[in-house]
Formats: sequence, structure tokens, C-alpha cells
Amino acid sequence: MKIYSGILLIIILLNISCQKEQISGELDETIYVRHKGADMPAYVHGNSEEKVFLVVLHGAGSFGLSFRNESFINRIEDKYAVVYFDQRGQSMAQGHYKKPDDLIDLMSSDVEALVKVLKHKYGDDITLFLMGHSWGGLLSAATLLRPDVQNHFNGWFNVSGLMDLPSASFYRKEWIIEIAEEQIKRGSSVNKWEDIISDLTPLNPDSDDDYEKILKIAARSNSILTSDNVVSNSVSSEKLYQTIVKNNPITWQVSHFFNKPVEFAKEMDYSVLNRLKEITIPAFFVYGKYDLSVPPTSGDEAFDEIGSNNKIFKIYERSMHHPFDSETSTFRDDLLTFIRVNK
Amino acid sequence: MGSTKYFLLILSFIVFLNTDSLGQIQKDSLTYNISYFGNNFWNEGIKLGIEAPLNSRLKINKKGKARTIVKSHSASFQYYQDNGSHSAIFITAGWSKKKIFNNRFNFTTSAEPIGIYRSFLTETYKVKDDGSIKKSFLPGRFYLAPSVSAGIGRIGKKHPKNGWYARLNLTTLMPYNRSIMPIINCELGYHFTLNNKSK
Repeated sequence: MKIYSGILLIIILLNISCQKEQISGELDETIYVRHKGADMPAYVHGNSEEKVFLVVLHGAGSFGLSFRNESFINRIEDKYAVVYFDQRGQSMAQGHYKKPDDLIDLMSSDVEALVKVLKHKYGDDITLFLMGHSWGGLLSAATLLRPDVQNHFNGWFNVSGLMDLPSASFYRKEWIIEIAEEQIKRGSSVNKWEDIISDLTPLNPDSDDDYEKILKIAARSNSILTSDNVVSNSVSSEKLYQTIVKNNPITWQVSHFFNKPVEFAKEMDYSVLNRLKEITIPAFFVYGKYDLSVPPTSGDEAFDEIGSNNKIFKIYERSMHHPFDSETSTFRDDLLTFIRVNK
Repeated sequence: MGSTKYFLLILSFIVFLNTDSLGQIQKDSLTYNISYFGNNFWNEGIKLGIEAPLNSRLKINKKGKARTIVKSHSASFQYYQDNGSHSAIFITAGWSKKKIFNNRFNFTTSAEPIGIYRSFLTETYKVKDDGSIKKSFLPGRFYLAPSVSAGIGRIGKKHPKNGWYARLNLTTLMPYNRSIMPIINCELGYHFTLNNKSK
């Protein structure tokens, strides 16, 4: 019996060890949203005294906590509560459900469900901001276009959002050539950039066959930009910790392998361009100058369509696709200012 | 997590009471094992197991070296917590095969095709189709969970049924989202009998 008691004691201690005391106003918890067959974790961290919550939607193949670097922890969470959300079929989200007819509609309804849960738990008087990165930018737009959802948000912070799938390859090809010519003029890795242009020129952006080829050339170009130190490229230790330890990397990668919402959007030729004029809340668009997967030119086209009178478009000069990692202090200041002005 | 704790307590008792009753039949031959059970290596957990031998035979290879092969029925209870997101228990049953070398090292493989897994989520709110919200009681999901494992160990000098071992365990949860989910666990543990007579 002594052995059994010891075993039970170990189980109880393991269980208790994961529970943390919370300071008043300081949130540090994981809540799940159960909606239409999926259980999706929302990691809520930060200061809730002002009742301001920033909902963060990750990009394709990513996870909510991927944003949680030192800048978010020490500065943004110091002022506001941040809700890092794992979307349906991504990272640590689990459940049982069939393949939906319209995945994007379902996933945007999940975000709407998250908003309802946040208001239910933290009070109807909380102020919400929505931030989306890349695929998350598209999802955030799709969410804001649902009936009455904009009423819940005081602002939309779009980071490298891909708003129009049909034109994605066109903008990528054009922008890679633009950057290649710029680098050749500077005399930087001239041979490599000339190879990039010659490989890219014959590819047809309207062809499905060439879609992946253009993406691969974008990846090659990213490597050149990184090795030539044109862009800031550092991975913080905190981000590494969130990726490998807090997040479960095997579950994350397998989830993404079986659930690729961008593939669905691509098959559907999904676009929100012609509906962006319906978005009237304050908007801030951030794109990296050297983002070759979602070029700033595509963001600029989407930005022109936004119906809001209060909107800002900003290009980060030393960033590729993840400006929150490459230019952390500028990103943090822009985000905090945007929230402060519009809360 | 409070209710989860009590559920785990009750389940642990049930499992061990059953283990005890099994032991009445052939208590001398049963082997128990207890191990650290880390989901993806760093999420801590515990595994408790029992093995009832089916047969044992001596095999001599072409070089004349002898190996003892022990085949057993096996059943396990596992618990782990995944940092900040969920914890889980699962019960599996099947067979194991242990190849024991002369130097007391052994290589063990096991296949446990019968498995049931239950995740336990943190505070969960269900949003219904009409938009209403309800806090879930004991939130989590059941999954089928067949598993296989393989690893090495070394048996004791005086008590050959006792010894340490290290194994890698692969459990597949299904159906998970719209497909399956493999989870990899490492086991570092000790096996023993309650009747520690020498050979």
C-alpha cells in the first residue's frame, strides 16, 4: 500500500506544480474555446487593469505563442493583456470534426467565438484589438467582415497579411525582381541575384505549376538577403523557449501537416479585397520591405481598399516576413501607440 | 484543474485495485514497472505498468551465444502534463517481448494496440450554435491510443526480475482533429517484483 500511496502523491504533486498564483490584474492562464468540434487554447498573459485585450492570430504553420518574445512579455504585456490563440487544427488545438465546406468561414467563426468567451469571462466592458500575421492577417479580415464583429474591436493591426490569394504569385514575382535589381545596383551578390532573375523571368504567376516554384525562389532570395545582412535576422532565446518548450513542436508540426488553411484559400482563390471597404475601424498595416512571400506592394493594394478614415501603412526597412522579430522595438512602439490612441 | 485531480485519484485507485486482484492469481510471476514518462521529453509524467509472462525460452544464435526471450502480457497506466495547455491519462494493453543477454542487458519491444486516452484541458468554455456560452465540466477528449515502444535495460544481479530501463514510446491518438496525432514519450524507469526471491 505504501507504494500506491507514494505513486498517488507523485501524481498530485505533478498536478499541483503546474498551478500558479495570480497577482490581481496580472493574467497568466490558458483557457480553451470549444466550438464546432474543436478545442482551441487561448494563452492569456499580461496586465488586465485597463481591461484592454489584444487578440493575436498567428500565421500559417505557426502557433499563438510564437509572438511571445521578450518585447511582448516585458513591454506589451506590461501594459495590456495579450491573447495568443491557437487556431482550429493548428498547434495545440484538438478535437474531432469533419472537413468543413468553408474552412475560412469556420475559422473566422472560431475567432468570433473567442471574442464571446473573452467578454463572458473578463466582462462586457473590455476593449479588444485584433492583430493578425500573414495568414492570420487574412483571417482577421475575414473575422472583421462577419456581421457585427467590428463592433467588438477598437482597432485592427495587420502584419504582413495576405489579403488576395489570386494575385499572390504576381506580387511575389514582381517584388523579387525589384529587390534583385536593387541589390545588383548596390553590387551585392550580383551573380546570385542575376541567377534569381533568370530563373524567375520565364515563370508564369497565373500558373498553378509555377506557384511553388516562385515560392522556392523567394526562399532562395531570403537566404541571400540574410547572408548579406540586408535584413535583421535574430531569434530571441524567449522565442526559442516558446517554440520548443512551451509549445509542443511535434504536435504543432503534425497538426499543420494535416491542416493547411492556406491550401484551402489557394484552391478557393480566396480574396477579401473587394470587401475591405466594409472595414471602418482604425487600421494599422505593417509590411517588411524585404518580405518576398507577402510583398508590401500587395499590402499597399489592400490598404487602399480599407474603408476606415483612420488608417496607417508602414514599411519596415530591415524586415522580411516577421517584422515583430526583426525590428522588435519599432514594432512594439507602433503597436503600443496604436492601442493607446484608439483604446 | 481541481476536478481533474480528483478524477486522477479515483482512476489511480481503480487501476491499482485491479492490479492487486490480478496478483492473487500469479503474484510471483508478475513484474511491475514505474517510470518517468516525458511527453516529447520535457513534459513531465509518470507511467505505471504490469507484465504477466506468457512464456520464456532460451535461444542460441549462430555464434553460440545464448539469449533468453521472455514474452509477456502487458498493461500500463500513463499520465503526463503538456506545459500550460493540457494533461492526459491513458491506459494501454498488449504484449511485450524482452531479449535478455548474458551480460544482463536486455532489449525490450512492446505493442499495446488496445489503448484509450483522455486529455484534460484547462478552463474551457463551450460556445453553442446559438451563441450561448457554457463552462465545460471536466473538459477534454477521448481518443483511441494504440502504442508501441522499444528500449534497453539491465536486470539486477541478485534479483533478475528487478532492473532499470529506458524506452521510447510512440502513441497515436485517433481520430484527432481531422486526422491522427502521434505523440512521442520517453520512459526512464525501474521494474521489480513484489516477491524478490532469487532465480
